[in-house]
Amino acid sequence: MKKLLQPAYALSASALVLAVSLIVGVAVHISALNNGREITIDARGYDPRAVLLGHYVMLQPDLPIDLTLAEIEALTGAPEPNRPRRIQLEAWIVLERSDAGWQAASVLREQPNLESAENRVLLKAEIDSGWRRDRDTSPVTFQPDLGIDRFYTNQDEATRIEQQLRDGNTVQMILNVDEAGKASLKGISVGDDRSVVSWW
Amino acid sequence: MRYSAYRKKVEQDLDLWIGNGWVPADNRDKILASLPARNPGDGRSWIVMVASILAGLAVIAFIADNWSAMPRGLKLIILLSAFLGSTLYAAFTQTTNRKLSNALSLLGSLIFAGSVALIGQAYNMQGEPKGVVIVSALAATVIGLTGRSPAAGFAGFVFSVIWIGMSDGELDAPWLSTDFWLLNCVAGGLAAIAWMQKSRALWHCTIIAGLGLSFLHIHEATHLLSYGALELSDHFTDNDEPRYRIYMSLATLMFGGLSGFLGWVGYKRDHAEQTGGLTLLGYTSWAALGSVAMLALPMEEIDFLHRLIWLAASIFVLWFGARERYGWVAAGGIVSLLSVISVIFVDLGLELSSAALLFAISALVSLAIVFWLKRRANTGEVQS
Repeated sequence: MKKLLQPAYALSASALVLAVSLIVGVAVHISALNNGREITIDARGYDPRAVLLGHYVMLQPDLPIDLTLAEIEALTGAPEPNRPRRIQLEAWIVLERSDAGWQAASVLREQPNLESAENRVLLKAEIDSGWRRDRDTSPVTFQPDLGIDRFYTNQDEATRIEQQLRDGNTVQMILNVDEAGKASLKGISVGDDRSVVSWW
Repeated sequence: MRYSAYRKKVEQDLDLWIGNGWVPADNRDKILASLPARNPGDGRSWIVMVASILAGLAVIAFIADNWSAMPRGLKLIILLSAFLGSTLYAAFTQTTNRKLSNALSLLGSLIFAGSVALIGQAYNMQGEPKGVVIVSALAATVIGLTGRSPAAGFAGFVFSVIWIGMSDGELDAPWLSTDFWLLNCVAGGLAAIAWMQKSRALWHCTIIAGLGLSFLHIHEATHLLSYGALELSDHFTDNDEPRYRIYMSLATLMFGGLSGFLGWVGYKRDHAEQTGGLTLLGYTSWAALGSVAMLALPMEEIDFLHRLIWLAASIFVLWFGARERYGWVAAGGIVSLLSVISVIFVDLGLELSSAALLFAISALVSLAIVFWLKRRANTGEVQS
Protein backbone atom coordinates (compact mmCIF):
# COMPACT_ATOMS: atom_id res chain seq x y z
CA MET A 1 0.00 0.00 0.00
CA LYS A 2 2.79 2.39 0.97
CA LYS A 3 4.50 1.64 -2.32
CA LEU A 4 1.38 2.68 -4.23
CA LEU A 5 1.52 6.11 -2.58
CA GLN A 6 5.00 6.75 -3.99
CA PRO A 7 5.02 9.40 -6.75
CA ALA A 8 6.01 6.89 -9.45
CA TYR A 9 2.66 5.13 -8.94
CA ALA A 10 0.44 7.79 -7.40
CA LEU A 11 1.31 10.59 -9.85
CA SER A 12 1.13 8.24 -12.83
CA ALA A 13 -2.28 7.04 -11.70
CA SER A 14 -3.61 10.55 -11.06
CA ALA A 15 -2.25 11.76 -14.44
CA LEU A 16 -4.03 8.90 -16.19
CA VAL A 17 -7.26 9.57 -14.28
CA LEU A 18 -7.13 13.26 -15.22
CA ALA A 19 -6.41 12.45 -18.88
CA VAL A 20 -9.22 9.89 -19.01
CA SER A 21 -11.59 12.35 -17.35
CA LEU A 22 -10.90 14.83 -20.17
CA ILE A 23 -11.64 12.17 -22.79
CA VAL A 24 -14.78 11.06 -20.94
CA GLY A 25 -15.91 14.70 -20.75
CA VAL A 26 -15.59 15.05 -24.52
CA ALA A 27 -17.25 11.67 -25.10
CA VAL A 28 -20.24 12.56 -22.91
CA HIS A 29 -20.59 15.88 -24.71
CA ILE A 30 -20.44 14.31 -28.18
CA SER A 31 -22.86 11.59 -27.12
CA ALA A 32 -25.31 14.19 -25.78
CA LEU A 33 -25.10 16.09 -29.07
CA ASN A 34 -26.00 12.98 -31.03
CA ASN A 35 -28.76 11.59 -28.83
CA GLY A 36 -31.41 14.29 -28.55
CA ARG A 37 -33.82 16.21 -30.72
CA GLU A 38 -32.15 18.50 -33.22
CA ILE A 39 -33.75 21.89 -33.78
CA THR A 40 -32.51 24.87 -35.74
CA ILE A 41 -33.37 28.37 -34.62
CA ASP A 42 -32.32 31.85 -35.65
CA ALA A 43 -29.41 33.42 -33.82
CA ARG A 44 -28.85 37.00 -32.84
CA GLY A 45 -25.39 38.37 -32.19
CA TYR A 46 -24.14 40.84 -29.64
CA ASP A 47 -20.91 42.20 -28.21
CA PRO A 48 -18.60 39.96 -30.18
CA ARG A 49 -15.32 39.80 -28.25
CA ALA A 50 -13.64 38.68 -25.08
CA VAL A 51 -9.89 38.75 -25.40
CA LEU A 52 -9.04 35.93 -22.98
CA LEU A 53 -11.32 33.34 -24.55
CA GLY A 54 -9.93 33.38 -28.09
CA HIS A 55 -11.90 33.70 -31.30
CA TYR A 56 -15.58 33.15 -31.09
CA VAL A 57 -18.89 34.68 -31.99
CA MET A 58 -21.11 35.86 -29.18
CA LEU A 59 -24.63 34.86 -30.09
CA GLN A 60 -27.88 33.79 -28.52
CA PRO A 61 -30.94 31.94 -29.75
CA ASP A 62 -33.54 34.40 -30.99
CA LEU A 63 -36.71 33.09 -29.31
CA PRO A 64 -38.80 36.10 -28.29
CA ILE A 65 -41.62 35.34 -25.85
CA ASP A 66 -44.33 37.94 -25.20
CA LEU A 67 -46.12 37.62 -21.88
CA THR A 68 -48.98 39.74 -20.62
CA LEU A 69 -49.19 40.87 -16.99
CA ALA A 70 -51.77 38.18 -16.25
CA GLU A 71 -49.53 35.48 -17.71
CA ILE A 72 -46.56 36.75 -15.71
CA GLU A 73 -48.58 36.78 -12.48
CA ALA A 74 -49.71 33.24 -13.21
CA LEU A 75 -46.06 32.29 -13.31
CA THR A 76 -44.69 34.33 -10.43
CA GLY A 77 -47.65 35.19 -8.21
CA ALA A 78 -49.01 38.68 -7.58
CA PRO A 79 -46.30 41.30 -7.13
CA GLU A 80 -45.88 43.38 -3.98
CA PRO A 81 -47.55 46.75 -4.48
CA ASN A 82 -45.47 49.89 -5.03
CA ARG A 83 -42.20 48.03 -5.47
CA PRO A 84 -40.13 47.62 -8.60
CA ARG A 85 -40.36 44.11 -9.95
CA ARG A 86 -38.01 41.72 -11.59
CA ILE A 87 -39.38 38.55 -13.12
CA GLN A 88 -36.66 35.95 -12.94
CA LEU A 89 -37.39 32.26 -12.98
CA GLU A 90 -36.48 28.92 -14.44
CA ALA A 91 -39.26 27.87 -16.76
CA TRP A 92 -40.28 25.30 -19.33
CA ILE A 93 -40.80 26.65 -22.81
CA VAL A 94 -42.86 24.79 -25.35
CA LEU A 95 -41.47 25.33 -28.84
CA GLU A 96 -43.61 24.62 -31.88
CA ARG A 97 -42.51 24.43 -35.47
CA SER A 98 -44.36 26.55 -38.00
CA ASP A 99 -43.54 27.77 -41.50
CA ALA A 100 -41.39 30.49 -39.90
CA GLY A 101 -39.35 27.87 -37.99
CA TRP A 102 -39.31 27.00 -34.29
CA GLN A 103 -41.20 29.53 -32.14
CA ALA A 104 -42.03 29.72 -28.43
CA ALA A 105 -45.67 28.77 -27.94
CA SER A 106 -46.04 28.90 -24.16
CA VAL A 107 -44.11 29.25 -20.90
CA LEU A 108 -44.83 27.01 -17.92
CA ARG A 109 -43.57 26.90 -14.35
CA GLU A 110 -43.79 23.12 -14.02
CA GLN A 111 -42.75 20.49 -16.52
CA PRO A 112 -45.85 19.63 -18.60
CA ASN A 113 -46.71 16.09 -19.52
CA LEU A 114 -46.69 16.55 -23.28
CA GLU A 115 -46.98 13.77 -25.74
CA SER A 116 -44.00 13.76 -28.05
CA ALA A 117 -44.75 15.24 -31.40
CA GLU A 118 -42.63 15.89 -34.44
CA ASN A 119 -43.37 19.61 -34.43
CA ARG A 120 -43.09 20.28 -30.69
CA VAL A 121 -40.18 20.29 -28.25
CA LEU A 122 -39.78 21.21 -24.59
CA LEU A 123 -36.90 23.45 -23.48
CA LYS A 124 -35.73 24.37 -19.99
CA ALA A 125 -34.52 27.97 -19.76
CA GLU A 126 -34.18 30.96 -17.50
CA ILE A 127 -36.23 34.03 -18.19
CA ASP A 128 -35.42 37.45 -16.80
CA SER A 129 -37.35 40.66 -17.38
CA GLY A 130 -34.83 42.99 -15.77
CA TRP A 131 -36.17 45.59 -13.30
CA ARG A 132 -39.55 47.13 -14.10
CA ARG A 133 -41.51 49.90 -12.43
CA ASP A 134 -44.54 48.77 -10.45
CA ARG A 135 -46.94 50.81 -12.62
CA ASP A 136 -45.63 49.29 -15.84
CA THR A 137 -48.38 46.92 -16.99
CA SER A 138 -47.31 46.53 -20.61
CA PRO A 139 -46.52 43.03 -21.92
CA VAL A 140 -42.94 41.91 -21.48
CA THR A 141 -40.79 40.40 -24.23
CA PHE A 142 -38.38 37.82 -22.84
CA GLN A 143 -35.40 36.25 -24.52
CA PRO A 144 -34.88 32.93 -22.72
CA ASP A 145 -31.39 32.13 -21.51
CA LEU A 146 -30.45 28.60 -22.57
CA GLY A 147 -26.92 28.86 -21.15
CA ILE A 148 -25.55 29.10 -24.68
CA ASP A 149 -23.96 32.37 -25.60
CA ARG A 150 -20.98 31.72 -27.86
CA PHE A 151 -19.72 29.70 -30.76
CA TYR A 152 -15.98 29.08 -30.87
CA THR A 153 -14.42 29.08 -34.28
CA ASN A 154 -11.33 30.38 -36.07
CA GLN A 155 -10.78 34.07 -36.67
CA ASP A 156 -11.81 34.10 -40.35
CA GLU A 157 -15.01 32.18 -39.71
CA ALA A 158 -15.84 34.31 -36.64
CA THR A 159 -15.42 37.50 -38.67
CA ARG A 160 -17.57 36.09 -41.49
CA ILE A 161 -20.39 35.13 -39.12
CA GLU A 162 -20.28 38.50 -37.39
CA GLN A 163 -20.51 40.24 -40.77
CA GLN A 164 -23.52 38.11 -41.71
CA LEU A 165 -25.22 39.07 -38.43
CA ARG A 166 -24.42 42.76 -38.96
CA ASP A 167 -25.81 42.63 -42.50
CA GLY A 168 -29.07 41.23 -41.16
CA ASN A 169 -28.60 37.83 -42.84
CA THR A 170 -29.88 34.70 -41.19
CA VAL A 171 -27.44 32.81 -39.00
CA GLN A 172 -28.92 29.74 -37.35
CA MET A 173 -27.91 27.78 -34.29
CA ILE A 174 -28.21 24.02 -34.49
CA LEU A 175 -29.31 22.93 -31.02
CA ASN A 176 -29.68 19.51 -29.54
CA VAL A 177 -32.34 19.14 -26.84
CA ASP A 178 -32.21 16.16 -24.51
CA GLU A 179 -35.09 14.57 -22.61
CA ALA A 180 -34.51 16.83 -19.61
CA GLY A 181 -35.05 19.88 -21.82
CA LYS A 182 -31.38 20.90 -21.77
CA ALA A 183 -30.17 22.45 -25.00
CA SER A 184 -26.59 22.04 -26.27
CA LEU A 185 -25.03 23.83 -29.20
CA LYS A 186 -24.41 21.24 -31.88
CA GLY A 187 -23.27 23.58 -34.61
CA ILE A 188 -24.07 26.61 -36.67
CA SER A 189 -25.55 27.19 -40.06
CA VAL A 190 -24.67 30.21 -42.18
CA GLY A 191 -26.40 30.28 -45.55
CA ASP A 192 -25.77 26.86 -47.05
CA ASP A 193 -22.76 26.14 -44.81
CA ARG A 194 -23.51 23.83 -41.93
CA SER A 195 -20.79 23.27 -39.34
CA VAL A 196 -21.42 20.56 -36.72
CA VAL A 197 -19.24 19.52 -33.75
CA SER A 198 -17.82 15.99 -34.03
CA TRP A 199 -14.92 13.99 -32.55
CA TRP A 200 -12.47 14.93 -35.33
CA MET B 1 18.20 34.37 10.39
CA ARG B 2 20.03 35.53 7.28
CA TYR B 3 23.70 34.52 7.00
CA SER B 4 25.04 38.09 7.10
CA ALA B 5 22.95 38.94 10.17
CA TYR B 6 24.04 35.72 11.91
CA ARG B 7 27.72 36.40 11.26
CA LYS B 8 27.39 39.98 12.50
CA LYS B 9 25.72 38.76 15.70
CA VAL B 10 28.49 36.21 16.34
CA GLU B 11 31.13 38.93 15.81
CA GLN B 12 29.38 41.24 18.33
CA ASP B 13 29.01 38.44 20.88
CA LEU B 14 32.64 37.42 20.44
CA ASP B 15 33.83 40.98 21.11
CA LEU B 16 31.71 41.03 24.28
CA TRP B 17 32.99 37.63 25.47
CA ILE B 18 36.61 38.56 24.71
CA GLY B 19 36.10 41.86 26.55
CA ASN B 20 34.79 39.96 29.61
CA GLY B 21 37.69 37.55 29.41
CA TRP B 22 35.50 34.51 28.74
CA VAL B 23 37.08 33.74 25.37
CA PRO B 24 40.79 34.20 24.52
CA ALA B 25 41.31 36.91 21.89
CA ASP B 26 43.50 34.56 19.87
CA ASN B 27 40.51 32.30 19.22
CA ARG B 28 38.41 35.02 17.55
CA ASP B 29 39.57 34.33 13.99
CA LYS B 30 39.43 30.58 14.49
CA ILE B 31 35.82 30.76 15.70
CA LEU B 32 34.77 33.03 12.84
CA ALA B 33 36.55 30.76 10.34
CA SER B 34 34.57 27.80 11.71
CA LEU B 35 31.23 29.37 10.70
CA PRO B 36 29.72 27.58 7.71
CA ALA B 37 30.64 29.17 4.39
CA ARG B 38 27.97 31.26 2.79
CA ASN B 39 26.19 29.23 0.15
CA PRO B 40 24.14 31.54 -2.04
CA GLY B 41 23.04 28.76 -4.43
CA ASP B 42 23.02 29.11 -8.17
CA GLY B 43 19.29 29.78 -8.58
CA ARG B 44 18.87 26.74 -10.83
CA SER B 45 15.54 25.74 -9.37
CA TRP B 46 14.01 29.13 -10.14
CA ILE B 47 15.29 29.02 -13.71
CA VAL B 48 13.81 25.52 -14.11
CA MET B 49 10.45 26.84 -12.79
CA VAL B 50 10.45 29.77 -15.20
CA ALA B 51 11.39 27.40 -18.05
CA SER B 52 8.47 25.12 -17.11
CA ILE B 53 6.00 27.98 -17.16
CA LEU B 54 7.35 29.14 -20.53
CA ALA B 55 7.16 25.58 -21.91
CA GLY B 56 3.53 25.31 -20.78
CA LEU B 57 2.71 28.62 -22.41
CA ALA B 58 4.52 27.48 -25.57
CA VAL B 59 2.31 24.37 -25.89
CA ILE B 60 -0.86 26.40 -25.39
CA ALA B 61 0.27 29.17 -27.77
CA PHE B 62 1.25 26.56 -30.40
CA ILE B 63 -2.23 25.03 -30.32
CA ALA B 64 -3.84 28.47 -30.39
CA ASP B 65 -1.66 29.58 -33.31
CA ASN B 66 -2.63 26.52 -35.36
CA TRP B 67 -6.26 26.59 -34.28
CA SER B 68 -7.69 26.75 -37.79
CA ALA B 69 -5.29 24.26 -39.34
CA MET B 70 -5.73 21.48 -36.78
CA PRO B 71 -8.73 19.20 -36.56
CA ARG B 72 -10.32 18.92 -33.12
CA GLY B 73 -9.14 15.37 -32.60
CA LEU B 74 -5.52 16.32 -33.29
CA LYS B 75 -5.71 19.13 -30.72
CA LEU B 76 -7.02 16.62 -28.19
CA ILE B 77 -4.22 14.16 -28.96
CA ILE B 78 -1.45 16.81 -28.77
CA LEU B 79 -2.73 18.25 -25.50
CA LEU B 80 -3.17 14.86 -23.83
CA SER B 81 0.27 13.73 -25.04
CA ALA B 82 1.94 16.86 -23.69
CA PHE B 83 0.12 16.50 -20.36
CA LEU B 84 0.83 12.79 -19.95
CA GLY B 85 4.42 13.20 -21.16
CA SER B 86 5.27 15.86 -18.59
CA THR B 87 3.46 14.29 -15.60
CA LEU B 88 4.62 10.72 -16.23
CA TYR B 89 8.21 11.92 -16.64
CA ALA B 90 7.78 13.86 -13.39
CA ALA B 91 6.53 10.68 -11.70
CA PHE B 92 9.53 8.62 -12.70
CA THR B 93 12.17 11.28 -11.93
CA GLN B 94 10.79 12.22 -8.49
CA THR B 95 13.26 10.06 -6.56
CA THR B 96 16.30 10.73 -8.75
CA ASN B 97 15.91 14.42 -9.65
CA ARG B 98 13.44 16.26 -7.44
CA LYS B 99 13.94 19.69 -8.98
CA LEU B 100 13.21 18.41 -12.46
CA SER B 101 10.22 16.42 -11.21
CA ASN B 102 8.86 19.46 -9.37
CA ALA B 103 9.19 21.60 -12.51
CA LEU B 104 7.60 18.95 -14.73
CA SER B 105 4.68 18.58 -12.32
CA LEU B 106 4.14 22.34 -12.56
CA LEU B 107 4.33 22.06 -16.35
CA GLY B 108 1.78 19.22 -16.29
CA SER B 109 -0.58 21.32 -14.13
CA LEU B 110 -0.37 24.25 -16.53
CA ILE B 111 -0.87 22.07 -19.60
CA PHE B 112 -3.89 20.42 -17.98
CA ALA B 113 -5.42 23.84 -17.25
CA GLY B 114 -4.79 24.93 -20.84
CA SER B 115 -6.18 21.62 -22.12
CA VAL B 116 -9.48 22.00 -20.26
CA ALA B 117 -9.95 25.48 -21.72
CA LEU B 118 -8.84 24.58 -25.26
CA ILE B 119 -10.77 21.30 -25.44
CA GLY B 120 -13.86 23.14 -24.17
CA GLN B 121 -13.45 25.59 -27.04
CA ALA B 122 -12.66 22.96 -29.65
CA TYR B 123 -15.83 21.01 -28.87
CA ASN B 124 -17.95 24.09 -28.17
CA MET B 125 -18.76 23.10 -24.61
CA GLN B 126 -20.69 25.95 -23.05
CA GLY B 127 -20.03 26.90 -19.46
CA GLU B 128 -18.55 29.46 -17.16
CA PRO B 129 -14.77 30.09 -17.51
CA LYS B 130 -14.49 29.89 -13.73
CA GLY B 131 -15.46 26.22 -13.97
CA VAL B 132 -12.24 25.68 -15.93
CA VAL B 133 -10.30 27.52 -13.22
CA ILE B 134 -11.62 25.47 -10.28
CA VAL B 135 -11.04 22.19 -12.15
CA SER B 136 -7.49 23.37 -12.88
CA ALA B 137 -6.95 24.23 -9.20
CA LEU B 138 -8.12 20.79 -8.14
CA ALA B 139 -6.03 19.01 -10.78
CA ALA B 140 -2.88 20.99 -9.88
CA THR B 141 -3.40 20.13 -6.20
CA VAL B 142 -3.84 16.43 -6.99
CA ILE B 143 -0.67 16.50 -9.11
CA GLY B 144 1.17 18.34 -6.32
CA LEU B 145 -0.05 15.87 -3.71
CA THR B 146 0.66 12.67 -5.61
CA GLY B 147 3.89 13.97 -7.17
CA ARG B 148 5.16 15.61 -3.95
CA SER B 149 5.46 18.86 -5.91
CA PRO B 150 5.22 22.19 -4.05
CA ALA B 151 5.31 24.04 -7.40
CA ALA B 152 2.18 22.26 -8.66
CA GLY B 153 0.53 22.89 -5.28
CA PHE B 154 1.38 26.58 -5.61
CA ALA B 155 -0.26 26.58 -9.07
CA GLY B 156 -3.36 25.12 -7.38
CA PHE B 157 -3.32 28.03 -4.91
CA VAL B 158 -2.95 30.61 -7.72
CA PHE B 159 -5.87 29.06 -9.66
CA SER B 160 -7.97 29.21 -6.47
CA VAL B 161 -7.19 32.91 -6.04
CA ILE B 162 -8.14 33.51 -9.69
CA TRP B 163 -11.44 31.64 -9.06
CA ILE B 164 -12.19 33.89 -6.09
CA GLY B 165 -11.50 36.92 -8.29
CA MET B 166 -14.01 35.57 -10.85
CA SER B 167 -16.58 34.27 -8.35
CA ASP B 168 -19.04 37.19 -8.68
CA GLY B 169 -21.79 36.33 -6.23
CA GLU B 170 -20.85 32.66 -5.83
CA LEU B 171 -19.64 33.36 -2.30
CA ASP B 172 -22.94 34.95 -1.24
CA ALA B 173 -23.91 31.49 -0.01
CA PRO B 174 -20.66 29.53 0.21
CA TRP B 175 -22.13 26.33 1.68
CA LEU B 176 -24.49 26.06 -1.29
CA SER B 177 -21.64 26.33 -3.78
CA THR B 178 -19.97 23.11 -4.95
CA ASP B 179 -16.96 25.13 -6.04
CA PHE B 180 -16.53 26.46 -2.50
CA TRP B 181 -16.26 22.90 -1.16
CA LEU B 182 -13.76 22.13 -3.90
CA LEU B 183 -11.74 25.14 -2.68
CA ASN B 184 -11.72 23.53 0.77
CA CYS B 185 -10.32 20.35 -0.81
CA VAL B 186 -7.61 22.43 -2.51
CA ALA B 187 -6.71 24.06 0.83
CA GLY B 188 -6.54 20.63 2.49
CA GLY B 189 -4.31 19.39 -0.31
CA LEU B 190 -2.03 22.42 0.05
CA ALA B 191 -1.68 21.77 3.77
CA ALA B 192 -0.76 18.14 3.10
CA ILE B 193 1.89 19.09 0.49
CA ALA B 194 3.31 21.82 2.76
CA TRP B 195 3.56 19.30 5.60
CA MET B 196 5.06 16.49 3.51
CA GLN B 197 7.55 18.67 1.62
CA LYS B 198 8.22 21.20 4.40
CA SER B 199 7.57 23.93 1.86
CA ARG B 200 7.65 27.44 3.30
CA ALA B 201 5.89 28.99 0.30
CA LEU B 202 3.04 26.50 0.53
CA TRP B 203 2.79 27.00 4.29
CA HIS B 204 2.12 30.69 3.62
CA CYS B 205 -0.49 29.72 1.00
CA THR B 206 -2.12 27.22 3.38
CA ILE B 207 -2.46 29.79 6.16
CA ILE B 208 -3.89 32.43 3.82
CA ALA B 209 -6.35 29.92 2.34
CA GLY B 210 -7.21 28.51 5.76
CA LEU B 211 -7.93 31.92 7.28
CA GLY B 212 -10.00 33.01 4.27
CA LEU B 213 -12.08 29.83 4.23
CA SER B 214 -12.52 29.86 8.02
CA PHE B 215 -13.82 33.42 7.74
CA LEU B 216 -16.48 32.26 5.25
CA HIS B 217 -17.39 29.13 7.24
CA ILE B 218 -17.85 31.17 10.42
CA HIS B 219 -19.99 33.75 8.61
CA GLU B 220 -22.16 31.00 7.10
CA ALA B 221 -22.62 29.28 10.46
CA THR B 222 -23.46 32.45 12.37
CA HIS B 223 -25.72 33.69 9.57
CA LEU B 224 -27.59 30.41 9.66
CA LEU B 225 -28.00 30.74 13.43
CA SER B 226 -29.15 34.36 13.26
CA TYR B 227 -31.30 34.36 10.13
CA GLY B 228 -31.98 30.70 9.45
CA ALA B 229 -30.73 31.21 5.89
CA LEU B 230 -27.52 30.48 4.05
CA GLU B 231 -27.67 33.41 1.63
CA LEU B 232 -25.38 36.00 3.19
CA SER B 233 -26.90 39.00 1.43
CA ASP B 234 -30.46 40.36 1.17
CA HIS B 235 -31.10 40.30 4.91
CA PHE B 236 -29.53 43.56 5.99
CA THR B 237 -32.58 45.79 6.06
CA ASP B 238 -33.31 48.56 8.54
CA ASN B 239 -35.98 46.63 10.41
CA ASP B 240 -33.66 43.68 10.91
CA GLU B 241 -30.87 45.47 12.76
CA PRO B 242 -30.85 43.51 16.06
CA ARG B 243 -30.35 40.22 14.24
CA TYR B 244 -27.71 41.79 12.03
CA ARG B 245 -25.82 42.94 15.13
CA ILE B 246 -26.00 39.48 16.68
CA TYR B 247 -24.80 37.86 13.45
CA MET B 248 -21.89 40.22 12.82
CA SER B 249 -20.77 40.35 16.46
CA LEU B 250 -20.85 36.58 16.77
CA ALA B 251 -19.01 36.02 13.48
CA THR B 252 -16.33 38.58 14.27
CA LEU B 253 -15.80 37.32 17.80
CA MET B 254 -15.52 33.72 16.61
CA PHE B 255 -13.06 34.61 13.85
CA GLY B 256 -11.03 36.77 16.24
CA GLY B 257 -11.05 33.96 18.80
CA LEU B 258 -9.92 31.42 16.21
CA SER B 259 -7.14 33.76 15.02
CA GLY B 260 -6.03 34.35 18.61
CA PHE B 261 -6.00 30.61 19.32
CA LEU B 262 -4.01 29.84 16.16
CA GLY B 263 -1.61 32.66 17.06
CA TRP B 264 -1.07 31.02 20.45
CA VAL B 265 -0.45 27.66 18.70
CA GLY B 266 2.05 29.40 16.41
CA TYR B 267 3.80 30.98 19.40
CA LYS B 268 4.07 27.61 21.15
CA ARG B 269 5.40 25.97 18.00
CA ASP B 270 7.98 28.70 17.59
CA HIS B 271 9.14 28.30 21.18
CA ALA B 272 9.35 24.55 20.68
CA GLU B 273 11.48 25.33 17.59
CA GLN B 274 8.96 23.60 15.34
CA THR B 275 8.67 24.78 11.75
CA GLY B 276 6.02 27.24 10.65
CA GLY B 277 5.10 28.57 14.09
CA LEU B 278 6.36 32.08 13.46
CA THR B 279 4.59 32.30 10.09
CA LEU B 280 1.31 31.16 11.65
CA LEU B 281 1.69 33.71 14.45
CA GLY B 282 2.45 36.51 11.97
CA TYR B 283 -0.67 35.98 9.86
CA THR B 284 -3.03 35.28 12.74
CA SER B 285 -1.94 38.33 14.72
CA TRP B 286 -2.96 40.53 11.78
CA ALA B 287 -6.23 38.58 11.41
CA ALA B 288 -7.01 38.94 15.12
CA LEU B 289 -6.36 42.69 15.04
CA GLY B 290 -8.57 42.93 11.93
CA SER B 291 -11.33 41.19 13.88
CA VAL B 292 -11.02 43.63 16.76
CA ALA B 293 -11.36 46.50 14.27
CA MET B 294 -14.37 44.83 12.61
CA LEU B 295 -16.20 44.53 15.92
CA ALA B 296 -17.30 48.11 15.25
CA LEU B 297 -19.31 47.12 12.16
CA PRO B 298 -22.46 45.93 13.93
CA MET B 299 -22.47 48.87 16.35
CA GLU B 300 -25.21 51.38 15.90
CA GLU B 301 -23.28 54.31 17.30
CA ILE B 302 -19.65 55.05 17.97
CA ASP B 303 -18.66 52.98 20.95
CA PHE B 304 -16.06 54.36 23.31
CA LEU B 305 -15.38 50.90 24.77
CA HIS B 306 -14.67 49.42 21.32
CA ARG B 307 -12.06 52.06 20.55
CA LEU B 308 -10.45 51.47 23.94
CA ILE B 309 -10.33 47.69 23.37
CA TRP B 310 -8.90 48.22 19.87
CA LEU B 311 -6.30 50.61 21.25
CA ALA B 312 -5.36 48.19 24.02
CA ALA B 313 -5.14 45.25 21.59
CA SER B 314 -2.89 47.24 19.25
CA ILE B 315 -0.56 48.28 22.07
CA PHE B 316 -0.47 44.72 23.42
CA VAL B 317 0.42 43.23 20.02
CA LEU B 318 3.04 45.92 19.43
CA TRP B 319 4.58 45.26 22.85
CA PHE B 320 4.44 41.48 22.38
CA GLY B 321 6.01 41.66 18.90
CA ALA B 322 8.77 43.99 20.13
CA ARG B 323 9.48 41.88 23.24
CA GLU B 324 9.70 38.60 21.34
CA ARG B 325 11.41 40.25 18.34
CA TYR B 326 8.61 39.19 15.99
CA GLY B 327 8.90 41.89 13.33
CA TRP B 328 5.66 41.16 11.46
CA VAL B 329 3.66 40.92 14.67
CA ALA B 330 5.01 44.28 15.84
CA ALA B 331 4.29 45.73 12.38
CA GLY B 332 0.68 44.56 12.73
CA GLY B 333 0.48 46.32 16.07
CA ILE B 334 1.83 49.54 14.55
CA VAL B 335 -0.58 49.47 11.60
CA SER B 336 -3.48 48.74 13.93
CA LEU B 337 -2.43 51.51 16.30
CA LEU B 338 -2.21 54.06 13.50
CA SER B 339 -5.61 52.90 12.22
CA VAL B 340 -7.34 53.22 15.56
CA ILE B 341 -5.84 56.66 16.18
CA SER B 342 -7.04 57.80 12.75
CA VAL B 343 -10.50 56.33 13.38
CA ILE B 344 -10.74 58.03 16.77
CA PHE B 345 -9.97 61.39 15.19
CA VAL B 346 -12.66 60.75 12.58
CA ASP B 347 -15.11 59.63 15.29
CA LEU B 348 -14.65 62.61 17.48
CA GLY B 349 -14.52 65.31 14.88
CA LEU B 350 -14.03 68.54 16.73
CA GLU B 351 -14.36 67.03 20.17
CA LEU B 352 -10.66 67.21 20.80
CA SER B 353 -11.14 67.29 24.56
CA SER B 354 -12.56 63.75 24.41
CA ALA B 355 -9.71 62.67 22.12
CA ALA B 356 -7.19 64.16 24.54
CA LEU B 357 -8.80 62.29 27.44
CA LEU B 358 -8.77 58.99 25.55
CA PHE B 359 -5.12 59.36 24.49
CA ALA B 360 -4.09 60.49 27.98
CA ILE B 361 -5.72 57.42 29.56
CA SER B 362 -4.02 55.17 26.98
CA ALA B 363 -0.65 56.85 27.55
CA LEU B 364 -0.97 56.50 31.34
CA VAL B 365 -1.96 52.84 31.06
CA SER B 366 0.95 52.20 28.66
CA LEU B 367 3.40 53.91 31.04
CA ALA B 368 1.99 51.94 33.98
CA ILE B 369 2.53 48.70 32.05
CA VAL B 370 6.11 49.72 31.18
CA PHE B 371 6.74 50.58 34.86
CA TRP B 372 5.30 47.25 36.00
CA LEU B 373 7.37 45.31 33.47
CA LYS B 374 10.53 47.15 34.49
CA ARG B 375 9.86 46.46 38.15
CA ARG B 376 9.19 42.80 37.48
CA ALA B 377 12.44 42.52 35.50
CA ASN B 378 14.42 44.19 38.34
CA THR B 379 12.86 41.88 40.93
CA GLY B 380 13.81 38.91 38.80
CA GLU B 381 17.43 40.11 38.53
CA VAL B 382 17.71 40.58 42.32
CA GLN B 383 16.23 37.13 43.01
CA SER B 384 18.57 35.44 40.52
